Amino acid sequence: MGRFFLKGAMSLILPLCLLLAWMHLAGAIDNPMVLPPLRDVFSQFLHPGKSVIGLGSLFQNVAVSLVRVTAGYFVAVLIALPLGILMGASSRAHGLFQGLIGLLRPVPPIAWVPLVLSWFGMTSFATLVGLRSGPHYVYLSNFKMSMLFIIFLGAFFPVVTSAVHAVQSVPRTYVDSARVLGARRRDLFWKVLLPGAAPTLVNGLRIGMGSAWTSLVSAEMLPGSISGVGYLITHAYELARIDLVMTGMMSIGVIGAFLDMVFRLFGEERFAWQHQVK
Amino acid sequence: MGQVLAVRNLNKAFLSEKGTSVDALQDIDLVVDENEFVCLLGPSGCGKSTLLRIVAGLEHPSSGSVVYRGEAIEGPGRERGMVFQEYSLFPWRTILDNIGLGLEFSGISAEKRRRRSEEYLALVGLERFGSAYPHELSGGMRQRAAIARALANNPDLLLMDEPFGALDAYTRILLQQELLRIWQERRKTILFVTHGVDEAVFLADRIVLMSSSPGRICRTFSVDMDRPRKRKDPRFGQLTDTILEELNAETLAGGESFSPV
Ligand SMILES: Nc1ncnc2c1ncn2[C@@H]1O[C@H](COP(=O)(O)OP(=O)(O)OP(=O)(O)O)[C@@H](O)[C@H]1O
Ligand SMILES: [Mg+2]
Repeated sequence: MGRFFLKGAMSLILPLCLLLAWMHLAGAIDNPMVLPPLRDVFSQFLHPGKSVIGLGSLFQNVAVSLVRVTAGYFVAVLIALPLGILMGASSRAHGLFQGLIGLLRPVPPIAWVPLVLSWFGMTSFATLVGLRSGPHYVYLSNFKMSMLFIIFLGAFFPVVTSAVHAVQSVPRTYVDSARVLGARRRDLFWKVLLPGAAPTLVNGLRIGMGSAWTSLVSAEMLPGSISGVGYLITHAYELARIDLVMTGMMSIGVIGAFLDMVFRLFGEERFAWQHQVK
Repeated sequence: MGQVLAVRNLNKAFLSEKGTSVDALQDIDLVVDENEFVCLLGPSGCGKSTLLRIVAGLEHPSSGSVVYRGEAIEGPGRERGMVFQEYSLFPWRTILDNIGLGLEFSGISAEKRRRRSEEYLALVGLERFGSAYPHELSGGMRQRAAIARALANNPDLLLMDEPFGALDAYTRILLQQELLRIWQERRKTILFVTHGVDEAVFLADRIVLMSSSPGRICRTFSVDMDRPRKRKDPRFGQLTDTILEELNAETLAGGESFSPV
């Protein structure tokens, strides 16, 4: 427990140094367009419920972004995880999908924007449930299919690639020893490949989550977006509110780092065995 | 006495990365009788693991026949257990759950499985470590657990691929004695791979000497000493010397020299 806190404290040293440097530099430069004062940015965090530049509160925008990322990520994992595991376990499935995935993976999500817009237009959760007006409509129309698709793309490829790798790197001796002990194909999959791959699979999920947040800002730059942290950043920039831009950046950073930590702690707690295997 | 295993005219070639074919085993003839303890002895790369993997059913021969109790071997089977050269315990399972693995695959109930696993845990002297994970055990303890895992499945023929190779000399001698005790108590047939001449002379009824490139059987020695064998017995030293000379003569071309252990 003591070591845990020590490690936590260690990882806070450099962010704190950065804040200190910021404070001093902002005073020295004295130009909010270049570097706004720290307190301007932090006062946004102190009043997360206050409406900013006509976009609703910081809290609302963060919440909208969080739902978008979660939804896009969830769908991506739902497809990428089984597909990656299948490809890792079966060389036939690998042969079938590998080429397509290899071709699509290098294309950055933002390059998809024009296509995605013409495919999905303004379709949102509201359209899906058949709402055209009312307070629920306003809320649900925030979640456009186009945005979710961009986030989906961001998360999909890291998850599928690392799932393939996770299953393929289960030592062959584990599979062989199970076969000699009488394992059937079903046993090999559920009792050898899956548990053997689990730590790397969870690590892939973690990388995918980070990647989903990275594509959030691209997604929220799409036309029709009127909320979310990504949109807040773009819009604040147009209004020359660099302090708000930084507030948005820091929100994404903090939430991303927090989720990453949750994944890591889960992995470390659940898969303590993997560190000791040569 | 019945034949447990009969290998006839076995050849095995692997396709290398470059596409050329490598002869791992050539013209192997080997018979193992009921309750016999046979050691395969030979330099690194002579195909000992390959031969064992073929008998286990994990690899297919290029030509020749491999027959277990009158039936050609098509794939792995419970009656042929194997202890691997590499680390093979599942690190995500406790020792007890590792030992119960084979029983789990054959659908035996959890309660019965636990009792059987505990019995084999005790057989290899690991009673106190049932709920530990493999990484919490020493190398020698892990090897005991791997042996218990193979035994718990109650195989008739036990294939062991340098199971004590990575252990220190003292632990190795200890485990050799325990293995002989288990072999005698449980009436198993054992095919045991080693590159230690001393180990082979201590354990085997019969020592099958192999030479490399291509892997072939070059000589067979019967060991007619009563057990427990004493290493200071002059016959022990004599046989060890004879085998070492033979091995050195065989590997002289390869420039490899053999040490007794
Ligand atoms: N899957 C494989 N593909 C290609 N070549 C192989 C394969 N397995 C073994 N070989 C080759 O077959 C030969 C025999 O290998 P094997 O592992 O059986 O030797 P060994 O006697 O067990 O050696 P050691 O004592 O080092 O374990 C070697 O030349 C090796 O390179
Ligand atoms: Mg070997």
